[in-house]
Amino acid sequence: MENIFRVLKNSWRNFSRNLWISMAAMFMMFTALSVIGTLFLFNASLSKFVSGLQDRVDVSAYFEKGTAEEEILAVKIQLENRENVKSVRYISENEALDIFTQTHQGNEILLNSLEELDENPLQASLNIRVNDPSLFSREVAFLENSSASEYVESINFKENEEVINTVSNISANVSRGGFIFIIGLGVLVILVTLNTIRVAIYSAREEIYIMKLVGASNWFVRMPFVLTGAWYGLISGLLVIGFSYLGTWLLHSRVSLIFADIDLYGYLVQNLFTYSALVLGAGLLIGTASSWIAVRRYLNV
Amino acid sequence: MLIFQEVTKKYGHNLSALENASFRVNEGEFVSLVGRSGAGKSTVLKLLLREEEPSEGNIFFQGVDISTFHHNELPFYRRKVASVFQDYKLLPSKNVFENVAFAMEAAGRPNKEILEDVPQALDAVGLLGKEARFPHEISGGEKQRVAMARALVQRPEILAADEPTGNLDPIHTWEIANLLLKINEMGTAVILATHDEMVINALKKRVITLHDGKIISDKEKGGYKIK
Repeated sequence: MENIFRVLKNSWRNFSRNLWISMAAMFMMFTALSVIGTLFLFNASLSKFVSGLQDRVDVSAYFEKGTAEEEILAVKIQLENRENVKSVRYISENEALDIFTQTHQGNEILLNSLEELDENPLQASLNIRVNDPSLFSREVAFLENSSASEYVESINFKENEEVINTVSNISANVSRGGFIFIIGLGVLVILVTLNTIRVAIYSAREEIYIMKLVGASNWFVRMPFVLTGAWYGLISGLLVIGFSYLGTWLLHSRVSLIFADIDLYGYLVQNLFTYSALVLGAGLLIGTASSWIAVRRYLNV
Repeated sequence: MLIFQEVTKKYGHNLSALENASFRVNEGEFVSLVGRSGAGKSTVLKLLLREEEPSEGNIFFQGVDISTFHHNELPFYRRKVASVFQDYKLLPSKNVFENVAFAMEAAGRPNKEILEDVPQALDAVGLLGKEARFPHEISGGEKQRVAMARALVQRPEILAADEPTGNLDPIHTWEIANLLLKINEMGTAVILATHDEMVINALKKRVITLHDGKIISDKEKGGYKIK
C-alpha cells in the first residue's frame, strides 16, 4: 500500500516537474478526446434524429374510386400479416375528406371549391408503416404484384425518405471521416505523449540511476512514468467532459430552435456515464499506452 | 563471498578496460583497488554493480554467477551491494533526510522502518541535526557522508566506493576513510577504488593494484606509491 502511494506520488512529481511540456501533451490529448466526444454526441443525436424521422415515414396506397371496402380491407389483412409491417391504417374516402377539411380549415377558397363538387374527390387509402424503412420497396413491390394491384391507383412515399437518406449518409460519412481523423490524431497524440514522457525520463535520469543503484524494483522505477501518461489522459478527459457539459449547455437553446430533435445537452446529461467512460477510457488508454511505449524504449532498468 | 574469475572487459575490439582479472573478497574484508586513472578500478566496480557485463570470465557473489540474474532479480542483488561515488549522486531537490530515505523507499521498505533507520544512519555518519539541509547547503565531506548514510540504510553485504575522497580536502578525506573503516567494522565488506596514496598507506588493509586493466599486485596490508 505504501509503495502504491509512493509510485503515485512519484508519478505526480513527474507530471508537475515538467509542467509546460506536460501541458503540450495534455493539449494534444484534449483535442483528440474532444473530437472523440464530439463525434459520439454528433452521431448519437443524428441517429436519434434519423430514428425520429423514420418513425414518421409511411407509404400510402391510394385505391381507385369506387373500390369496394372489402377489397381494400382484404389487402389490409394481407399486409398486416407481413413481417416487416408495423401497422396498416385504413382511411376511407369520407375519413380522407374529414382529414383534408381539418387540415385546410383556414383556407376558405379551397373548402368552398370542394363544396362545389358533386362528390368527394378523395380516394380511400391504406397507410402503411414498417419496422425497417430501408425495406419499404418490398412492401411496394408486394402491393404492385398482388391481386389487389388492379385497384391500386398510386403508391407514394412521403418526402421524408429523401431526408432520411441524406441524414443517414451524412451520419455514415461523418462516422467514417471521424474515425479516420481520430486514428490520425491518435497517432499524433501518442507521439507527443511519448516524447513528453521521454523528456520526463531524461530529466529524472539521476533519480532513475540512484533508484537502480539502491535496488528499486523495475516496477517501482517504471510505474511512475507509465502513470504520468495516465495523468495526462485523466486530466484531459475531465476537462473535455467539463467543456462538453458547458458547451452543450450554452448551445442548448440555439440548436434546439433549429433542429427540434437535436438536444445535445439533454443527450449528454442522460448519457453522462457512458460519455464520461468513453472519454476517460480513451484518455487513459492513449496516455498509458504511449507512456508504456516510452518506458519500454527509453528507460533501461 | 565475491569472486572475480578471469574477468575481461573490452570496449570495441581493441580497447581492454580490464584483462583477465581474478581475485576474491571475503566476508567483512576491506580491499582497496588502486591504480592511475584508466587503470580499470571503476570498471571493476561497474562490473560488480552489474552496470556492465564482462566480455569474458565470471563474477560470483555468494556462489552465484551475477550474469545469470534475471532483470527482476537484479534489484535484490543491488540491495546487497551498496555504492558511493566521487560525485556523491545526491538528489538536489531532496534534503539530507529525504536523500537517505529515498533509498529505503525505492527498496520498498515500510515508513516505520524508514523513520527508525534514517536517523540511526545519519547519527552513524555524524549528520544528526542536519536532516533538513539540502545538498547545496552542506560541504563536500558532508555530502559524501549523506551518500554513505544512504548506503548504510541498505544494510549491504558489500560497499563499493568509487573514489569517494576524490573531491575532498585532506581533513574530509580522513573523515570519510574513518567512516569506511567503521562501516567495515560493522561487518560490511568494503571495496574502495582510489588513487589517494595517503589514504591507502594509512588504512593498512589489503591492496590490489591495477595497471592498464591488469592486476599487477595483490598484497595483504599493502601500500601504494604513485610513480
